[in-house]
Amino acid sequence: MALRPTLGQQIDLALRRSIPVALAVLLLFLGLLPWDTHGLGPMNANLVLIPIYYWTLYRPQLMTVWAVATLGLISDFLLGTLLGVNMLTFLVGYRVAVAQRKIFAGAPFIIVWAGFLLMSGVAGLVQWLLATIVREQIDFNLRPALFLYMIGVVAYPPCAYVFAWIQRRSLVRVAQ
Amino acid sequence: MKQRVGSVSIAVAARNWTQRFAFVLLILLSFGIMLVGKADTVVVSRARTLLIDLIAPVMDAASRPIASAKEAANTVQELVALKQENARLAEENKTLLEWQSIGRELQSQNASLRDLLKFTPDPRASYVTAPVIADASSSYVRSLIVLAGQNDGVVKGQAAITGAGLVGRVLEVGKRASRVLLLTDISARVPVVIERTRDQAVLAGNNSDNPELQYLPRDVDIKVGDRIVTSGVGGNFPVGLPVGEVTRVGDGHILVQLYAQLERMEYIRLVDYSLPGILMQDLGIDTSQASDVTSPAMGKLHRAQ
Repeated sequence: MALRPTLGQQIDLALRRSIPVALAVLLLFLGLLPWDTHGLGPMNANLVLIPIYYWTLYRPQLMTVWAVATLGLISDFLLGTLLGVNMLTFLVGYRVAVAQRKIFAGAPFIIVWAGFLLMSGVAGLVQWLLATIVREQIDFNLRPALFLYMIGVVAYPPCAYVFAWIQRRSLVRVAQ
Repeated sequence: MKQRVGSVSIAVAARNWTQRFAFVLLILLSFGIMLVGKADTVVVSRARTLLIDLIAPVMDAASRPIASAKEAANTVQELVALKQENARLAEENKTLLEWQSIGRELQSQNASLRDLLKFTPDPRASYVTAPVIADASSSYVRSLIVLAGQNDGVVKGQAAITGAGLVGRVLEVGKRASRVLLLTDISARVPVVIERTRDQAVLAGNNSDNPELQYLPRDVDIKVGDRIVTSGVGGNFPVGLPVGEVTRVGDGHILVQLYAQLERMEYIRLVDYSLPGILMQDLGIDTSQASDVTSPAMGKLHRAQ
């Protein structure tokens, strides 16, 4: 007969299971801080795509579609964008990651990174399309969007390294 | 027993169905939220300010190391360029002294002319200095969150300025934090005037660092370097607040470089000019209350008359 886990064990497990979403919230807040990017543009929101992509590949049970939608909604509230825009963007990014999970999950790092480029590119395109529809005018100034995209691409390897370390240390026994 | 197995299988089927269609449901929900957000802005705005209030203390604490790092970097830069800066300042001081004497002369002349015309002076401004705690900008929106709200006398529509010039206006006000819409945001529109020619225009944000001038007369004589100041039209901002200078003319676009360095702001001033602007009247806000609010417990905030 299997032993019933104690309350302490249950709390420990719940905390461990919340690590991926907590990391996404942390990155959302980090992106909100008033960094000085020397005129290159703002640097937030899309950093959250990194944990969404990573955990969707390696711990899909811990980065659910509900969590992704909630992250998008919080991002909309904080950034002042029209509610639902980032929610939809993150959901589309999540869907791209889910669709490519079988290809990328066991692949070498460079392929996984390329997968992130694809996913964040699609998400960026959705964001641009939604901004165009909402404002009823085409925004040809793509420099801030490209800068955000580049930030995400450059930030992916160190973030993935930290996530992998956390995964090895804290999420080994947590259900895949 | 059979009944129990049946109810469990229904529950499992329902869960599977939910998981399978959760994505589609949430996509539809996000479109629904967009429609609600477009239609009911008051409720959404309240929800936003509530969330901003909640995160304000966290963002304040987290932004302090960045502010310190910025300050340290500025100090190093200043030390490196100290000699050159000193020479430049000495030169600037000479020019300013000349302007001071001209200013004094004009001031006394102005006073006597106002006396002759029985001119009513502008109401004196009161202001709140607030630290910038978050840069809530993305590719398609440009705004800041500052640590000052209703408790400090901040009112929607107030001008946000730095020592260099206009930055934007207060868009949403929470109890202890507010959102400032920057001049660079695509929805920002400010009535301005070209100081040299006195031609009126509208400064329109375009999500780049250089907003553009719109609705200028066709035959306008505008040059790179022309100063742009607020025109006071609409009554939201007073006349003559420095905004920026023309940095590019051509291709049907006139771009403006703002005086305020939007990315290097650690503190901004939210100014109440007690002007009965269109925005305030439309919202039914009693602007007279703003200047009566006393200073909050936040040590960094200053209020002055």
